Amino acid sequence: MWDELLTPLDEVAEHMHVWAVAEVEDESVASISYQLIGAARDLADLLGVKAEAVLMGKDVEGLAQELIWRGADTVYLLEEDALSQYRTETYAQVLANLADDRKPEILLFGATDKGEDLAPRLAQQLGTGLLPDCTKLEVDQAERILLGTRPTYDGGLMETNACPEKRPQIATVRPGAVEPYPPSESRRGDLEKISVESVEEVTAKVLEVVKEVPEPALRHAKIVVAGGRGVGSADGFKLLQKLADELGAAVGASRGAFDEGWVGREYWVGGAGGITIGPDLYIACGISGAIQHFLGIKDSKFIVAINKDPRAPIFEFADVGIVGDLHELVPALVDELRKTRS
Amino acid sequence: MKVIVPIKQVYDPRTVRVSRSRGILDIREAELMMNPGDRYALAEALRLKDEQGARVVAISMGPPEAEDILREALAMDVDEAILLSDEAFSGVDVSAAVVIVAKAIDKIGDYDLILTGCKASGDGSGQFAPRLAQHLDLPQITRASHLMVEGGKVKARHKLPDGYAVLEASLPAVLSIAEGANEPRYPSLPGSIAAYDERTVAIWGLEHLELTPDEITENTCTEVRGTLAGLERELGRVIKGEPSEAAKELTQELKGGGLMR
Ligand SMILES: Cc1cc2nc3c(=O)[nH]c(=O)nc-3n(C[C@H](O)[C@H](O)[C@H](O)COP(=O)(O)OP(=O)(O)OC[C@H]3O[C@@H](n4cnc5c(N)ncnc54)[C@H](O)[C@@H]3O)c2cc1C
Repeated sequence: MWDELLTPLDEVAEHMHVWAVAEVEDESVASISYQLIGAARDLADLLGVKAEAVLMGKDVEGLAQELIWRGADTVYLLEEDALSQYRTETYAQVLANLADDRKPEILLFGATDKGEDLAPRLAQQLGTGLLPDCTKLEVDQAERILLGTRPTYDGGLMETNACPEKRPQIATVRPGAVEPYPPSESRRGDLEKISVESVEEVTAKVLEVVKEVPEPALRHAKIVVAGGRGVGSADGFKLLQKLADELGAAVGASRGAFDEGWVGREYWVGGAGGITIGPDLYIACGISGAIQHFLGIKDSKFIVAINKDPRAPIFEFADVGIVGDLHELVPALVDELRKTRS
Repeated sequence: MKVIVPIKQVYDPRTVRVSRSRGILDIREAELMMNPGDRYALAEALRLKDEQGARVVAISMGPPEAEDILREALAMDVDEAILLSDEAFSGVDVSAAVVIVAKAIDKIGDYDLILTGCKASGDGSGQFAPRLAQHLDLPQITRASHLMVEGGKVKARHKLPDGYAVLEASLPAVLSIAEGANEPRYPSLPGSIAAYDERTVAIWGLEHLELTPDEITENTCTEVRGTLAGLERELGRVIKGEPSEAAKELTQELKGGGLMR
């Protein structure tokens, strides 16, 4: 009877708390998860509700503590053999059951390989909307509506989406978009174990997982020295390697340099097919600064551009630019660094 | 074997401008094209046609102009093309689009595979395949390549950031085909002539699909609250002078800013 009396607004009001769905990778919590719980923390504070993390897998209880240190009020722990390996349908089903039961107001996923595979399926199952690939999350406090902004048209247009009437509101958050909170060991939170009901037979099975490319050093480097077509040859990259060695940096490349065959694919930096990075310092040598390249490096804290063409677009987003020939400037920099060191 | 390939017409991103002052898309000179990612799905379906005699049906939801990409698909040797077009479909979000396309898929019936692209260029979000799979209660393999269809099952590689997983799903299944999974096809000239002169594109609207406007509204979840021109950033400083001088200045700046040891 009560069901019939529920108006859509009641249904919205029934939903509370902000969830971050943690990702587990090789038996540890993937860094995106701490970003998600940080974002959930901020949203929960604005909405006056709890920030909660969902942790799924097998033997993952030990990973819960840091989620609390990073901002979770509650960690829902779902441990089951069937969850030991990520499978879309199983994970979606288990999450849908939990969401039906607990009725979160907002669910955050990473805009990662797994998140983009899982979140839309779950959204469809829950009959709700998904704000994709958010680089900014805001909330309309009065209406309790999540606003998710994402870059479209290669970053040319920022689009803000909302899911005003359906609950929960789901968003995928682009890695690097949110700064995680540092772990605070004095933070307290609850661990709640959820028993996973028997999971239906899945129809897509994982036969094997093959690691192909070694994790590029590039992804986590604090300093990156990257070269483009302006480097001129594979040999030219040796010059960049020297500079990188001086700085303790990793070497990267534009698609242009990759296309020329001067470097392997694991060097390719960019937003469309390349590796997305956000180092403290990015030094671009002989890179014109195409939009796709920019999208891959825009999270860099400080960008230095060396290019002989003063009109190269890279100067539009570099913090410091040097107009000149990289074949002179890079050796000069190496010399200078050696001098200041000794 | 029957393979259904939903394809989408998009703006060629090279012809789209953003009005900085108004923060909206300027499409006055924009040209339409087949979403590049969908070409991989079509090519994969056509490979199954060549190698295993599959029948390939291309469908697209869109305005009447979207007939163009279906003609192009026919010219590539697709067997049947259906345009889902109705005033009521204009501007729907992905969750409503899934309901419309799923209705058409049910009507076509008796299918083994649904192949899509991964993400539409421009403003795509990659939700279509997983949502469609869920709506039809079918298994999904996203970012797929190396398909093998045999014994009522499909085996494919799902691309991972650091490699791939080999997945196996029972048919029917929904797969989004990874960029670069194959060589996309382009229409042949005789194929193109035939596609326009001899072949037909069926057009299905609301009624034919037995949908009501209410069903579409009910399944619409999201709305765009606003847009802004992107990529604004203050111009940086330019260092000039001899290489050795410039190198010195840069080094000092980086040290000063604590950006290097
Ligand atoms: C769908 C799609 C996806 C893409 N994805 C990516 C991506 O993820 N990442 C990416 O990087 N690109 C990507 N691209 C390609 C991108 O559009 C550019 O073509 C590419 O980034 C250009 O590489 P570049 O800057 O090295 O080369 P160029 O544009 O050729 O620039 C070379 C620059 O070097 C300068 N130069 C030349 N000689 C010297 C010298 N001696 N000293 C100093 N400067 C010198 C020139 O002035 C010029 O500015 C993509 C393109 C498409 C269509």
